[in-house]
Amino acid sequence: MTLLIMAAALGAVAVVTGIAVFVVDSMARATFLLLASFVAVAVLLLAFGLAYLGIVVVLMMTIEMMIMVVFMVMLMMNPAGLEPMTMVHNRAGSRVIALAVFVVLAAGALLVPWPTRPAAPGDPTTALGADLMGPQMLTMTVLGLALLATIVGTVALSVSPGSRR
Amino acid sequence: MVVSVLPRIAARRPHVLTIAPAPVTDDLLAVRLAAESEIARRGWPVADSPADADVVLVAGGLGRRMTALVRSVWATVPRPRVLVTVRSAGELGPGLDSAQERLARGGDSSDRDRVEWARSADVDLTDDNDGPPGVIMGGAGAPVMAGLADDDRDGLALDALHVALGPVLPHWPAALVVHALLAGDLVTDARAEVLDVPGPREVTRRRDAYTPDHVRLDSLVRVLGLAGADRAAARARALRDGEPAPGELAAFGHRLARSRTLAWTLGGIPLAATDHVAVPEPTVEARVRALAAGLGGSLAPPVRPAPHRAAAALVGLELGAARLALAAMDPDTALGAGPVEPFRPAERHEHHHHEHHG
Amino acid sequence: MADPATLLPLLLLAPALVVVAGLAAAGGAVTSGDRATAPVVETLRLLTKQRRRTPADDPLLARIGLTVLPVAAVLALAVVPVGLPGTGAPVDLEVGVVWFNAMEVLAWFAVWTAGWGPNAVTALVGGYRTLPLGLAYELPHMLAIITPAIAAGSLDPARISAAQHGLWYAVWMPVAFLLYLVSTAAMAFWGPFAAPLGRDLAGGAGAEHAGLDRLLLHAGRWMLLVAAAAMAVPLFLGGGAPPPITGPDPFSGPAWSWFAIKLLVVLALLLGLRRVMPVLRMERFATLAWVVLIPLAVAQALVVTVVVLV
Repeated sequence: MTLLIMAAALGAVAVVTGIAVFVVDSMARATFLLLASFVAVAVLLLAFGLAYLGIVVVLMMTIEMMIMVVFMVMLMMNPAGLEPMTMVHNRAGSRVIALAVFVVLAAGALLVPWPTRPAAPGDPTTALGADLMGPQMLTMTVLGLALLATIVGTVALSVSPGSRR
Repeated sequence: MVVSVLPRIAARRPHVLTIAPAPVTDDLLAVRLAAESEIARRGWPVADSPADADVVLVAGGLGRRMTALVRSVWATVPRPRVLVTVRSAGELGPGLDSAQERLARGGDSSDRDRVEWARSADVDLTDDNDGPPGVIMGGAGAPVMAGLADDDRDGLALDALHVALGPVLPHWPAALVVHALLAGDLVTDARAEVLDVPGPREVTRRRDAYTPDHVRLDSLVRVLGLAGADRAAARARALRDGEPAPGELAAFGHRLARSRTLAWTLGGIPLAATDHVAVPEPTVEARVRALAAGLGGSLAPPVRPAPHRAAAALVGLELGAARLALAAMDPDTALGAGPVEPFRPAERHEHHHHEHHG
Repeated sequence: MADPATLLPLLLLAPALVVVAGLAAAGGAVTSGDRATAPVVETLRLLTKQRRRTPADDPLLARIGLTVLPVAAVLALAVVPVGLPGTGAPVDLEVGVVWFNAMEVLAWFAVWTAGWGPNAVTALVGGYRTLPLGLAYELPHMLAIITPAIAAGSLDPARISAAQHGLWYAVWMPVAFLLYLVSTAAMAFWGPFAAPLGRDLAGGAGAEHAGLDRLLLHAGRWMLLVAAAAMAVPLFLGGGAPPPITGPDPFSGPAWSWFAIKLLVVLALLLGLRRVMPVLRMERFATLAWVVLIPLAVAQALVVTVVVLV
C-alpha cells in the first residue's frame, strides 16, 4: 500500500514537472525540470528495489541534460537565456505527435501480457546485464569501441591547430 | 559580543579590488605598482570580482568616466565594504590601515549603500540612460541581450553577444575596455577603448624610473597569475617590487623559459590573427619565453602594442585564451584608444529557435 | 533504520565532511603559501557578508544549484566505507560505486546552474566550462571506478575494499589509480581543472555570488574533493585494512584510523597536483582527457578484464 501511494506521488511529480518543461519560458529552467522529471522516475525504480536501474537513470539523464546544455549555449548564446522564450513551436503538429505517441505507449502498457509470477531470485542487476548483453555481447562491444573511437577522433580533429576561422 | 567579534575576525583578511586609471604619468604607474606590492606584503587576497571584494581601492586620481565606473562598481559590492582612494604611494599604508579598521567596525555606510542592480564584468560605462554602447542590458521589459551574428561558415545564424570586458577584471590592463562580440565563448570581434584617454597619443616616460626588466616582470605577473601559476606569479611580483640582484633575475627568467608545464599550458595561442602585427612574437608561448629570457639582460624593453592593435589580435580566440593573449601582449593603455562606436544590435529576426512572447 | 546506532553515522556524516573539507582547505591554503587559518577566516567573512543579485537573474535556479553541490558531496560520501563497524559505510548499497558517480555528476549540474543564474557573461562562460570538463573526465573517471569493480566482481565499495587483502589495487592497476586521482581533481574542478572558477573569468561560475552563496560554492567544492578522495581508499588502497606488507596490524586501532591515514595521503597527492600544474585551458584539458587519458583507461580496463577472465 505504501509503495502504491509512493508510486502515485512520484508519478505525479514526474508528470507535473514534465508538463512544466513546456510551460516555463527559460531554457535553463526547462532543462532543470526535465531532469527533475527523470529523477522522479528514477526514485520510483529505486522504490521498486531496482537500485542499479534507478541510479543509472539519474547518472545518464544528468549527463544527457549537460550535453543538451552544451548545444544550448553553443548555438544560442544569450546570457542566462532569461530573455523569455517559449519552449514550444509547431503547436498543432507537436500536439498530434504527442497524442499519437501517448496512445501507442499507453496501449502497449495495457496490452502487453505482463508476467504475474514473483520476481526471479538473484541479483536484479546481474539479471538485467545478462538479458541486455548476453546474446548481443559482440555487437555491443564493437559498437561501443567504434563510437568511442569516433568521439576521440572528432575531438582530436577539432582541437588541432588551424581548425578555427 | 559575537556580533562585534565576527566582523573583526573577518576583517583580518580583507579582499581588495584595485581600480587604477591608465598610467599616463609615471606617478600613476607608481601608485598602482605600490598598491599591488603593499596588498601582497600584508597577505591580503586580491578580489576576483566586485562580488568578492571587501575593500575597493582606487589607486590614483580618476577622470570622469573612471569615476562613473567606480560609482557603478561600488554599488554592486556587497556589505560590509569600504572604499578608499589614494593619490600617492605614501598614502597607501595609512589608507589600507584605516580601511581595515573601518571594515572591522562594520564598513562604510552611506545613502548609496544598498546593493543595486548591476553587473561586475560588464558595468554601465556611460552617463546616458538609454543604454551604454556595447554593454548588454538586463532588466525587465524588452531586454536586448543577444543579436544575431553574421552567417557562420555553415550558413547557420548564431546568436552573438555584445559585451564590454574590463576594466574591473583580474590582471587586466588599467582602464582598458574591450568591446567584444562573443559567439559562445569565442571572441568574434573586439575593439579597444581606454577610459578617459582617447587615442592615439604620445607618451614620454622617465626611462630611469622603470627598467625594461620592470616592464617584463609586470607583464609576466599578469600572464602567470591568469595561468594559475600562483607561486611563479608571486615570485615575479616580488622581483618586480624588490631590488633583485642581476643573477636572480636571469635565474628566474631561465627557469620560466625552460618550464615545460607552463609552455604546454600557454601553447597553441596565436598572436597574429590579423594582418596588423601587434607584437613581434607569433604566439603567447613565444612571447612569454621572450619576456622571461630577456630578464636580467641588456636587451631593449619589450614591444608593448597600442590597445587597438592588441584588441584586434584577440579575434578568433576563446575567451580564456584571449585573456592570456592580452596579458602577454600587455598593451600600453597610456597610449590611449577609442572612443568606440557602439555596436549596432542586429535586426531582430524571428529566429528558428526563438519565438518571443508578446 | 529506527535503531539509533545506525542513524548516528548518517547524522554525523555532513558535519564530519565539513570538518575534513576544512582541514583539506587549510592544507590547500598552506600549499599555496597562505596561512592555515585562512579557510576559517574566509568562512566567517562570507557568513558576515551580504548576498547579492544581478539584473534579470534567476536566483532560484542559482541557489538550487549552490545547495545541491554540498548535498551531492554528502550523498556521495554516504556510500563510502569509512571504516565504521559492519560493512564500513554509513549506508550499505550494493551498487554503491554507481550511486557515488551519479552524485558526482549532479555536482556539474549544480555548478552550471550556479553560473547560469546571475545572467552575466563571466559567470555563464564559467558555468559552461563545467560541461566540457565534466564530459571529458567522466569517461576516464567511470572507467577508473569500474576497473577495480571488475577485478572484485562487485559494484559494492565494501566488497571491492575487502577483495584486495593480498594486494592493493593501486599496485595491481596503477594506471587506473592515477587516472582516478586526476579525474577526481577534474570532478571537483580543482587545481589544474579549476577553469570553471577561473581567475581569467573573475571567478567564473562564482564571479557574481557573494556571502552565503559564495560559501556554498567554495565549501561544496572542497567537500566534493574530499568525498571523491575518500572513495579512492576503498577502491585502490584496501579501505580500512592495514597495508598488506606489514603483516599483523602494527596499530591495531579501529578501522577508521587506517582509513583516515590513507585519506590524508590521497588528499596530499591531490594538493601536490596543484603545485606541479597551472590551470589548464579548455582546449588543453579536453585534449588531455580525450586523446591521452581515455585510451589509457580503456587499455587498463581491458588488461584487468582479461586477467580476471583468464
